[in-house]
Amino acid sequence: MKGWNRRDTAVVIFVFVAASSLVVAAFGTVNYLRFYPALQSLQLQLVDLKYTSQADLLNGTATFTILNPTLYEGLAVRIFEGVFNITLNRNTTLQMGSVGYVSYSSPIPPGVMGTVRVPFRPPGFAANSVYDTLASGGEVRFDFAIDLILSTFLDKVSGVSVTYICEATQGQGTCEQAYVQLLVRPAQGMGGGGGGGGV
Amino acid sequence: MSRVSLAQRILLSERVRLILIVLVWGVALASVFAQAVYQRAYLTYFDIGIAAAVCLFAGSVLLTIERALIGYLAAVTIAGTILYTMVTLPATLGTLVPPADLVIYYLWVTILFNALIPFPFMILLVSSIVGSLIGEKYLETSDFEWPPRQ
Repeated sequence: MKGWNRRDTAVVIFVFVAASSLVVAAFGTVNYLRFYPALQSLQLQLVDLKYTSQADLLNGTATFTILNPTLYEGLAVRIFEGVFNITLNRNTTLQMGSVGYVSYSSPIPPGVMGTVRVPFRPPGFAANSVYDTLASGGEVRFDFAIDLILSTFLDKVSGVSVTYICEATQGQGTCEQAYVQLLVRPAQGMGGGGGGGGV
Repeated sequence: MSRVSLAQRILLSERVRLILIVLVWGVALASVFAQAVYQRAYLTYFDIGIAAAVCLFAGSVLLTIERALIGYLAAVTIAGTILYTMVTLPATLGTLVPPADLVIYYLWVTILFNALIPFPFMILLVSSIVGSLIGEKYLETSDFEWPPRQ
């Protein structure tokens, strides 16, 4: 039996180096396989809604929490945006438009809750309607459609956003995930256009 | 058969050794590409450098330019197949509902195509050829046989 020469040694080293790289890639693969479930499981909660109503003035603050309950690492909120409506006595809806720009850019590590406070100040006619409704013992409900524009490892090729529908009358409200969007940018050098898909 | 004799048998059989090297090469490239695209969906110069080092090493143990060239094409095909299978696994297994699964197939074709073609592909090809030249000079031994024993 011949002994090992330099090439045999190089082959063995090559196999071990490749095996080591496989271990590193395995961790990345496991994390990647948690990515889509993490998007579907991402939780937005409307934990508190406060407002003060006067005849021509309405000031309020909605406090949201964001939680990634999965083990996936690598998600971050880039933009927090949305629109809101005020529903009076369950039959009249006042469309208020955007909640305004909320400066919130933060990673969402697994199990760590982030808090976003959204102040809102509807125009005078809405303040009037809310004041009158409350004065007559009616119900005022705030409906939010919130988009979390996420920063992910796909940033260079795709935008990812998660949309929630939240509602509350006062205090704690409820939120439901409406859909997740993957927006594919047109490919460079491959022709064709971009598209989107819900997860 | 003991483990030692099995290892020696693999190392002594040139054909088995060639297949093993190309398979391992493909797996190594898939690993390097995977850790890159799972983090940022494209390859940095560092990632390309690591992949080039793998190709240099693989080319050197294959010893000849012809084998390095064919081995590289086979390894890249293996790497691409492994990687595409892994990244589209959520769609294949039904984790994603339509039309998201179709988006994932399209998205990953785009990502992998843009990540590898043309610049990294050429760099890695050149690395493999340079590796084979290095191997030919420093690793070739007198008991090296070509064509391989049957």
